Amino acid sequence: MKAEIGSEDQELEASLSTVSPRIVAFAVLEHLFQFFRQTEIHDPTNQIFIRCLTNLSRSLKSLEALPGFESLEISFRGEQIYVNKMRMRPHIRQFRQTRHLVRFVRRRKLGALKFPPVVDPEVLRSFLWIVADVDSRDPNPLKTIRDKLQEKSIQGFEVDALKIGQGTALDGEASIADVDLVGVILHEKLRKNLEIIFENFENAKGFQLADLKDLLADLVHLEEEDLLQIFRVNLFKRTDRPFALMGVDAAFAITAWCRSIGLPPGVITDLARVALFHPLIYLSQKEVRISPMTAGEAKALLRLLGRLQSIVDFNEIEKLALFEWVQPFGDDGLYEIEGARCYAHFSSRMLRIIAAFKFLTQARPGYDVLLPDEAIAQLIREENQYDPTLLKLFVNWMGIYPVGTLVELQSGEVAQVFAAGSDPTRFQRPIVSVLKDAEGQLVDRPYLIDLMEMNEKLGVYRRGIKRSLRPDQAELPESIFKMAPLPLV
Amino acid sequence: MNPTKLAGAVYRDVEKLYRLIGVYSGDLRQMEKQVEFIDKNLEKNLREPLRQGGVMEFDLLMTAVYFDGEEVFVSKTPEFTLAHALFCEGLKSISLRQSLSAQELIDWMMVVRNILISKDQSSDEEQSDLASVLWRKNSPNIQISLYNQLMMMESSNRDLTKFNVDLDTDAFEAQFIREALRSEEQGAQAITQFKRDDQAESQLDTSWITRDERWEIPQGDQLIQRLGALGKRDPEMIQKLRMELADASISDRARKIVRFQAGELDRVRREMEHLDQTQLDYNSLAHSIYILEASDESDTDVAKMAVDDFKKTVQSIVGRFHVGLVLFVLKKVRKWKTKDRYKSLYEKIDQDLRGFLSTPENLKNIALAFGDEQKRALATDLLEYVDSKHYQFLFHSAVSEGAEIAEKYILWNLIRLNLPLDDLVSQWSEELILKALPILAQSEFNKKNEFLSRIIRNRSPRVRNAGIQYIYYIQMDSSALLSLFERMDSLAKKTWLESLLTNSPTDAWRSFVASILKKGQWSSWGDEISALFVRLCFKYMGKPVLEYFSPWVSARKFVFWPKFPQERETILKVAMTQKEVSNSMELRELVRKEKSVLFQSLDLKELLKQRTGS
Repeated sequence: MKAEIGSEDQELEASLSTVSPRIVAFAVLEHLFQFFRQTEIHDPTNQIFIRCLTNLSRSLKSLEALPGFESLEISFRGEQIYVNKMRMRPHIRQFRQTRHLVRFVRRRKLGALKFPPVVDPEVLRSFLWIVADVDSRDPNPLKTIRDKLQEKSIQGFEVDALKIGQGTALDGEASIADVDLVGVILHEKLRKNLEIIFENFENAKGFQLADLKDLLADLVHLEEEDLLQIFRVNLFKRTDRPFALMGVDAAFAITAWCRSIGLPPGVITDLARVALFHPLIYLSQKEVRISPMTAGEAKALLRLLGRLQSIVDFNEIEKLALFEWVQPFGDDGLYEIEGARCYAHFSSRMLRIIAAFKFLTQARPGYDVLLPDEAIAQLIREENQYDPTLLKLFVNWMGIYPVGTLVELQSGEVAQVFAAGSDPTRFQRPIVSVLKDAEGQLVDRPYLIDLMEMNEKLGVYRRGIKRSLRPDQAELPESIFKMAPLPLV
Repeated sequence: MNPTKLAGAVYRDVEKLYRLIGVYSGDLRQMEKQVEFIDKNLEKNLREPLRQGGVMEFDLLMTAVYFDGEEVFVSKTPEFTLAHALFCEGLKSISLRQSLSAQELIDWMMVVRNILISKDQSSDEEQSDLASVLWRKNSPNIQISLYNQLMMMESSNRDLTKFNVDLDTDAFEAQFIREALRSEEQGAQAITQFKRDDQAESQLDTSWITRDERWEIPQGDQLIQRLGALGKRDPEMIQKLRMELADASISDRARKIVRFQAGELDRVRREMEHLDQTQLDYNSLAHSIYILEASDESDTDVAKMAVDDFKKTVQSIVGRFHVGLVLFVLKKVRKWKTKDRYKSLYEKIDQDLRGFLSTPENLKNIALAFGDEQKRALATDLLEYVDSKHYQFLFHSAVSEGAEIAEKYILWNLIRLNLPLDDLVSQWSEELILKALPILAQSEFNKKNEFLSRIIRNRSPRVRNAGIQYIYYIQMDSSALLSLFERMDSLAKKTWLESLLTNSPTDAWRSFVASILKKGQWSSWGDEISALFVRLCFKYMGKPVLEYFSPWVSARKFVFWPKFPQERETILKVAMTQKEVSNSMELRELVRKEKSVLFQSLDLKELLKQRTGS
């Protein structure tokens, strides 16, 4: 045997060629998070920190062994964390840790933590406690930390201040608006692409379409909140060519929903692509309705897919979902086709809910459009149509008053639902963006209100929703829906 | 070794293999010996213990790996372990099936390694995202489950309250806190308890653990049963939910309506943990067949696309030995045999799938499936698509594995399929014929007589003698039987008579016995065989035979001496011990006469003494 696996150095040697620096860097972040999290709960003498330090020291040592990580700088730019120059993209299991870490350092107005090549655990412990002890009201935390480091003769460790203009939420709305803009541009690009595709099929190639794969990859990387905001903005959009809009909106909604569930990015991309093209079924049926396909319609859909083959090559899951999503859930999710009893794939069942919601809320010629909350109620009322568990998940996620719903508050203001928490107790108390004041005047600058806010003296909620409104009842100018998200007051 | 120790050994080999891949940079030639060693370990610790089916499922946590709630693997540097990498990439658990080989593990690990390494350079998230790739990847014996938010929603309340951990935390952090707070033992107990609580609360149908779904035609019903879907588990619950939903309006009741019931999310979570390729293939096949059936001459373009899809799916099911789906396809396409448009497609698919079923490995799998109650029905159906030239190998596979139940069912089903018995007798090995003979001799089938007749004339004395044990089941003319019997050697004659003695008399065989008596040569076969024949005579002919034997007993030579001493001794000995005649009048008469005889053998005297008490 060339090398016995066993000794520490050999283990390291063996590991270097199989391990991803990203994985080890995440371990460092995780243990850093654990340490900082415990500083908020326990005093420094607590034994829990021994374990924290052991883990962190070990992971730091492991990372230092990897080329390019001999010294370490963890920097925070906006919501992003970089370890040296490597951008960390958290997975579902890591979202919470990274978010907490970002908030922790941001509260202390720090932009980076630097570690020397060889770390003594006790010195490391002192450094981390110095950072943790910084008061968020401290006007100059950087100086405080540096003074303490000097006082304790700690060398090699450094901190940097949070830099303005790095795209943080504290830097103002511009940077957030940029993110929002990316989403809007993406939505627009996808919509235009889709309009051309739906009208020209195989000939669409001559129109210099943007690469659908790239657009979907960008879509999947957008934050759940951003995706929902764009969905919200488009809820009341009218169009003569609704299919493209329905497809793109469904893609945004399903991407956001899947992200909330924590499905892997590749799977979300599949679902987004299917959602994008789900109106193909309306084209094959030659009318906008959701009902099981006849053989003729199935053939027509396959023919359409064939015509699109040079533009988009659907994989097996996507193809199945395009055929399957029109199947009602029935008693137990089974449907029969050619004597085979099939259980609809979860992607088809999810798409069915999103598509139906969009179908009910999409303004189109000759159709009485429903308000988002009415659409939710309609979905719930329709017996045996949707997977009840997924539908409940959808309502839990979207809220009884889905994002985008226009509402009149009991105090008279007109507002639009901005965000709904995942807490089931908050269904009827979302965060709303106030567009008109109690006197019916458009506000200069819309602001957010959390309907969970209590009147401390009376022990009741400050505001509540009186009813949902149609756009014409709300009497709002079209332009108001194009505004960027706003800070919470 | 207990299951936990076995699982620990298996998982350590998994990690070891992953490191070896690192040491040799994936160059398999250099690690041949080590791989061979690990493969032997897998045979001992995984394949053999799971021979009856099932999986070993390992739960991946941040710094450790658990099996059935017990810690089976920890490392000093967890960041460098495969477990940690998989955990960080969102994997919840990894399950290993019975047929896992080191080679399959290597192939799977190479995918993992390449993605982990390339990820740091790649900007294409979709291509380089390990969770997505593993979610889709179907490795026949490696199944992964991905972590998702639904799991947290299901388990957070019960999981964390035990540790007095704030509910506004997650499983990740909770595990850390557990580790930080516990002594090793307490922690292990806590995790075990958590796992058991998890199982108890979700009340899942755990039968799936030992079932190989590849041996089922994957109708949606089975899938629902496995997932424990709402409505199948508790009709009352689904009805209640339906009523609530039907009655829904935007009111205070809404919260109640969208509240999840116990275990409800679990179904969806399990569906989302990994891609169910079987469900996908089954549904896709059904849709393709639907379109093909609905297509006519004017739909050439549509039919071509549907055929392409259909073929792709068939390739997928063949690639992962999903016999349930193979059978589903074979049954579905059978009707195309007579359809001009799809005849060639039918022939191609039929030929491909039959070819797939006929590989030695698959034949062996089919053979052994006959021994498994759950797989037997499907194996029986599949047998129709196995070419008759593979029957011998099929039976041989069961014999070589010592699968006696499988041997029986294979032969019974081969008989049903008109097994060419000529081939069996002339081409099968002596060993296999000897194994098949007892099963076939005791089965009912049309050509059984012909088969046994050929067996008792077989060139091999072993086969012949074995066949004679079942002579009773042969139906032949008594003169032909007699002629055959007379040509037999002593051993064969003895076996023959013993075979008849162990069975109930029939007219045909009475006639055979009578014809021997008539010929009167029975006394020349030696004591043992003659005695057997006399016993046979008493059994088949009853008391009347005493009349026939009487002259042999009573005939005298010079008054004192029996004329046929050997025959009379044989007859008397048998008669006195034969239940059918021992109390008959005729026997009493014989005994009375015998008492007056002066010269008798000691044996006979003893028998007489016992009989008369004097």
